Amino acid sequence: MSALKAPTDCVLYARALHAYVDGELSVDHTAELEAHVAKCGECFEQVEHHRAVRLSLRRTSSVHAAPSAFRDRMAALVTAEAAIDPMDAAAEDTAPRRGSQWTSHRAHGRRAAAGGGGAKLIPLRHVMALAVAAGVVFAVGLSRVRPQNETESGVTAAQATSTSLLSMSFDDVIDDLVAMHASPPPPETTNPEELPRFDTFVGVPVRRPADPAFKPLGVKWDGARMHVARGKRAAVMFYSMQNGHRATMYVFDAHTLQMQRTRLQQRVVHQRPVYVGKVRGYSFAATERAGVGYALATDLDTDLSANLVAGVQ
Amino acid sequence: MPFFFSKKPASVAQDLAVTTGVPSAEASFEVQLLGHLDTMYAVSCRMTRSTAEAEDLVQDTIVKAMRARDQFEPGTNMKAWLLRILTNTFINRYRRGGLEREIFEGPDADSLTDGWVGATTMRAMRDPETQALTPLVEAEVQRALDALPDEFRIAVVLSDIEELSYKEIAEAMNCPIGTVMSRLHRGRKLLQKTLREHAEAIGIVTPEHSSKKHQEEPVNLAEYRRRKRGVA
Repeated sequence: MSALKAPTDCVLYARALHAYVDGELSVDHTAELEAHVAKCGECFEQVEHHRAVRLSLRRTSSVHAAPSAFRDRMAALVTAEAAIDPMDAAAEDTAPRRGSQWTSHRAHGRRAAAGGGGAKLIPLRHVMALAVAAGVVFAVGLSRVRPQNETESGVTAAQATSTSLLSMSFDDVIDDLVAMHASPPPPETTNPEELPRFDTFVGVPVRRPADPAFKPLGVKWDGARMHVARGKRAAVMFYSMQNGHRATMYVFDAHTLQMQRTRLQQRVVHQRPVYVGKVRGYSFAATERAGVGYALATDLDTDLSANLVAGVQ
Repeated sequence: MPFFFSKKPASVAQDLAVTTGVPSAEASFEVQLLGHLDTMYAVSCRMTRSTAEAEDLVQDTIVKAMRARDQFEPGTNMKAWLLRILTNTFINRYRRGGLEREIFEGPDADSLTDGWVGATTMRAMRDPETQALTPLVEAEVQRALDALPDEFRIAVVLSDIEELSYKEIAEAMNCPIGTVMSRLHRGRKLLQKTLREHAEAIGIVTPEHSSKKHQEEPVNLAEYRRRKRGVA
């Protein structure tokens, strides 16, 4: 360090040259150094050379843009993490060896544990493999919902062979939504004017749905957040209503998340196809309007939920 | 000696962009975080020298950042904050033994005060058109950087590519500012040496005798450690 205090020649200036090129030198020292560099050819070349190396270094770094598949995975990870309260996460982050390389999906964990799957943590690298595995897990979950006369293995085989990734995901998303409804994370925004910034994330216009059926129930919009459920992006809206009831609405691109093949029951309400069912004690109803999917989880009864979602305009 | 280091313009500009910039000011923590994904990935690739490990490292960093998001002070330099987490994760996880060991095995055999590459050589290596190195040498830059020992490479990447301030690098690497300067100094010197050798090999410059002599001297570890302690 004494070199900086009493610089007498180029060798002693060498360290300060770095600080100079890095813009870390104070004004006084900069002036002093520049005076030296102006008359010393060696040091001038040193500065120029150093800038040239830096420029070349920066050029090589542009090669390393994150691959888009990786980018998507990280976006999903961020959204999944965002749904977890940091305090919660600290308690849950118990994976001892690889630590945070494993991310906990609480909803899935619960389901897998209930179905005897055991694994509580999902390595994100294996998301695609998981999507297939989800079919099996779903089938196990199904056996809990449906009467036991359907053999489990039969359902599993049918799911594994005939269901495409696209169609099987809706039931998983339902579980995800219901899990979210059961323990809602805080909204990202409570300002309805900020909703349009969700558009690019979800891929469809995200607005507060106008719904005449909401009025008599005194439904109040509490805010919204972005969410990724099994790689499917959606906006989530939180509602509260009279008598302490709550509702959670998913708004998503109906083309990326088709609901035809589902364990939910299909019925027609207000001339619209609505899929309804009970999941973990909550009622669930979903419909599509103009390419936008709406799914609603509530603690109301199933008919009322179907009515609410059918009234979306 | 904090007065000695003024804040680097690039970092100041970045801070301003975060506090007053149009898109980032309203963007949520998550959106801002994802905005730094390319940076994190590029730095990870540099550190791990492997894209698979780089993805793991970025993923770990993101999870840690999300779980520590309450500790991030809005308006401060998020990139520096993220790179601090990333660097710490890298050092702790992937280099559990620490950075120290590798440096003794590293190729730094020159004394701290020996001469740099001569002025003529440096001028010859530079491309007068672009003010970067000549393309031939430039291609070698990536290899030379990858060949640097971890602690030098991290310092050089954070400073030259990501333009963090010395203070930010010191926080990221968990070391004093003096050590950062020392690592930068040595790292860049090694880079220069490698590049010069490459330039000589492909005939851009003529070999310099005095520098050749240095390379033939064996590494004196005891001397190196003593000097290193004096510097750090």
